[in-house]
Amino acid sequence: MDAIILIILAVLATAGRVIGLIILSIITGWFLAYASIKSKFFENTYIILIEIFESVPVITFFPIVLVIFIARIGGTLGVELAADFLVFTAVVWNIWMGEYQAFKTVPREMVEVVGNSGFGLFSKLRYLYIPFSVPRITANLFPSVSDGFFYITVSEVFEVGVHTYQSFGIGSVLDTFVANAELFNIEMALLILGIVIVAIVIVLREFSKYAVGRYTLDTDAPVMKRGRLNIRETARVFAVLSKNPFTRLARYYKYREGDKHQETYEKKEKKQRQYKYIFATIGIIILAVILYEAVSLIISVKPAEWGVLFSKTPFLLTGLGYDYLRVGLILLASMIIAIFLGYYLAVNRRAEKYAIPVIQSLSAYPAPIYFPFLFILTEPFMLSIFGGFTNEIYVLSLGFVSTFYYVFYAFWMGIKAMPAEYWEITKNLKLGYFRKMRKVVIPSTFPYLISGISSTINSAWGGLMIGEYWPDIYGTHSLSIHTGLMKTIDIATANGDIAVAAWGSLIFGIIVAIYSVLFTRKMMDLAQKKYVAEEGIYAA
Amino acid sequence: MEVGIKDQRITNSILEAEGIYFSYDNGYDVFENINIEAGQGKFIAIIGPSGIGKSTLLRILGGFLKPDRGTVRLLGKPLYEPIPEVALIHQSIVTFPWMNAKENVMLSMKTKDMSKNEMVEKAKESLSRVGLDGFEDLYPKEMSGGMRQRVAIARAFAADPYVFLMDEPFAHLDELTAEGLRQDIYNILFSGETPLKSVIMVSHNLTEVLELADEIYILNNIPATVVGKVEVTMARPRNPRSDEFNANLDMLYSYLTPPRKKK
Amino acid sequence: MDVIDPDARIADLLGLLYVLNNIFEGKTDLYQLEKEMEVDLDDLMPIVYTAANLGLVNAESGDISMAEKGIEYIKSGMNQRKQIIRESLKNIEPFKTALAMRSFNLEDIIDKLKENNVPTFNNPDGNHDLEVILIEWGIYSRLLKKTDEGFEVIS
Repeated sequence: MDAIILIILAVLATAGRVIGLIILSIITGWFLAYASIKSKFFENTYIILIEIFESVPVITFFPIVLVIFIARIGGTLGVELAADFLVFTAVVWNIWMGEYQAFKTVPREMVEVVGNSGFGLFSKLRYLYIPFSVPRITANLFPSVSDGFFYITVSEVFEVGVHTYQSFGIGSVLDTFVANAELFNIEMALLILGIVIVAIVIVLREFSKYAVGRYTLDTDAPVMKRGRLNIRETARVFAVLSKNPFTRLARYYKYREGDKHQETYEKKEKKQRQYKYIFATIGIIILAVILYEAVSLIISVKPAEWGVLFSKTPFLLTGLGYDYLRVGLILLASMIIAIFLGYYLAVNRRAEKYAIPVIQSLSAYPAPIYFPFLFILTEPFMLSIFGGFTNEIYVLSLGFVSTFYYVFYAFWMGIKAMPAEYWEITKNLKLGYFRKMRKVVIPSTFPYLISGISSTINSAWGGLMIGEYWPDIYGTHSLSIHTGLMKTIDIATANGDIAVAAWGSLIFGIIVAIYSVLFTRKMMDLAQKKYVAEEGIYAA
Repeated sequence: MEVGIKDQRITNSILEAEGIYFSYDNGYDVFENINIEAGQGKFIAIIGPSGIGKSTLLRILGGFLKPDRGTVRLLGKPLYEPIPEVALIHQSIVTFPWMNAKENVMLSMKTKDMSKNEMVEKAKESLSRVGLDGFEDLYPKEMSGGMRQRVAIARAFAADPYVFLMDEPFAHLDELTAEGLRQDIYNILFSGETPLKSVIMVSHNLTEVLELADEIYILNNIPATVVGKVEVTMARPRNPRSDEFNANLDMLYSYLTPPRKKK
Repeated sequence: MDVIDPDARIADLLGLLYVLNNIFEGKTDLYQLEKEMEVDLDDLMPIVYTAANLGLVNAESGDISMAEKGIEYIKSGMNQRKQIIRESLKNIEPFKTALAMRSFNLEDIIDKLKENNVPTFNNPDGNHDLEVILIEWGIYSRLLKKTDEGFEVIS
């Protein structure tokens, strides 16, 4: 019985950690978003940083976390902060970006009304900006909750050299149970975690309905009639649409909009200059702190050690090559399934009604928690089929289960947001399934698909980090692959070789950032320029 | 806001713009030496071809934008920033979906030194003035477009404004609804029970302008200048089918032709 | 069946009466009205039917003219106008049913209207249409008030 109470407390601690950090992200995001709409300099810095961090897998932060929190702060607080920081970096970027986009797209008229009333900062936030950002935050909550739970096992227990650092939560409690082979307690832990996750998903779904009913504008998709906005029709259309809140939320999901709403007469107001200097100063301070940390880290490495690190670099790059191949395979499998299943669910309401909550709950249930048990059950069978490739298959599967959801969710949202006119035209033209997919569905969901793909890639790295080197996954069995950068970093961390781990992470971070700038950003821009389906509907 | 005695003696103007020059950041000159005066009890309309900058001018008059040169004065005192006493009414109906009608109206009193109860009372009074008594707790989503427009006007009224700036307030409504609201709002505006002293409206609907306005300013050319000012002396209500009305329309068009040109 | 059309709005009523009275001097053909106002059937007919049901205009054989009550409406102030509408609503659905029920929520009155063979609000958008109509006409004219549960007739 004591064990059950322990499990419940541990699950609540973990859930509290995830939810608390999400709330922290939301609150800090409001102020940062406001700062960025007030200062161009701050905005540019902030957005570049978010985009780099967003596209760099959370795992990259691991060595930094170790150095800063364990070495500098230390103690229980340091370990707790390290766990919190990892989960924070997993949940925060989506939310900050969503809030920034919401603040950026507040209709000019509303800003003017609030300006007319002579409001100060807090009143503006309270009455206009914060309520306006609620739908976008809501749309990003599901992925953030999933992401947050995913990283608990990594963040609550980790080993560096001979030290094992633990913070209280279901991840660490489960780890103890597994070490002692307490089967009943393991089952109970999995069950209770499942119940709590389902409860959170249910609450989130209810909240989404509320947020859509209360906080969305019903004129955000103008239904035009002879060039005039017809309020009557709009109110009607949305009363019908809002019966399915996700259809409306889809419009807010990670959807990148440019500055196209700004009208020419929005000449810069001189009064905002004073704010500008304040925010610019804040931006410079943040930048200085980051630089200071980086420089002091580099100085602390001895010259001899640099030689070792450089000589290891080709090996690390080869590992990275293998890992990119794995990520590519995982992404391909995820996309194919997401597109076919997502399409099927989006057009079959009955199936959708049951399947979506199940998929949402499954995705929030952290793969690293249940994966070992899947491994126990299937290993003999898998060995007989795949032989020497068995471990490789397991690593790919872990990557897949921890990542599939993102591209699926994004694609499904994209289909939900597709203008009804497009569906009618595909029917009218009697387009076949593949033609319809190729010519209409995939292009019009492209912006969503791209953002889903970038989340998927990030999480795939997380899956690889966990899977490529997993000592004692059960009993004396270990999961380990032949070559991979993630494996090298894992082993270096476990052996306490922080320099190699940090160097590997740095190389990884740089290459991923370059990739992100060259590829992901390009695709995002392309998506924004060419594939905004809503712009294709224009009432004459 | 106190009325400057000296200024009152010189002019009878409520809101006045003198020698306004304005250009966009890219150097495009929008206005050159614009002078507009809105007198006590007057309904002023500003018209001009599409793209002339009517909405921009309205925002300069409200203190939302700063002119490069020239001054805007409210009751003789310079106006540097938006204040609730000069209320902007938008083309699209602006209500906040997360607040009910009462809260929407109270928005314009938040910066005033009033207790919560006083604000609620005042909000009710404002809503009642536009005919929305009983609507206090309803949300915009439960109302028709016409009712929402009334909420927006009640919100402006609650700040005891001296001037209303209306940016094509009826453009998004179908003509029948617009006609009803025009008559309704005109009656509310000049019912005499409020501190409101004048209204400035921009519009591209010349019939609407002739129906409502006491004085019409016509903008044309690049950069825009006031090319004409017309006083409308027709008795109310004005019938758009009458010969007198048509003669006035014809005169307005004579100011707008030949096409605008660069000076 | 006399009923308020789901698309009829107070502002449209005032627009119609104003145009009919002041521009057409009390009587015209509907097609003339359509041309003058640049409206189409969808914009025009809901309020024509509703105004006729309320007894404010007479509409027959493609003509429309002001009724006594309509002229009185135009001449009155806001409170008097509200009273005219309030009195006129009492024999028109959905308000006839509402008056009989005294206090109700949206689902109740929809069921009751079905029982009373009023099909107007019996479509997929019916819920929203009915709510807007109850608010637009009922609350505006002070016949109904909104309560936490739904609506209540003001006695």
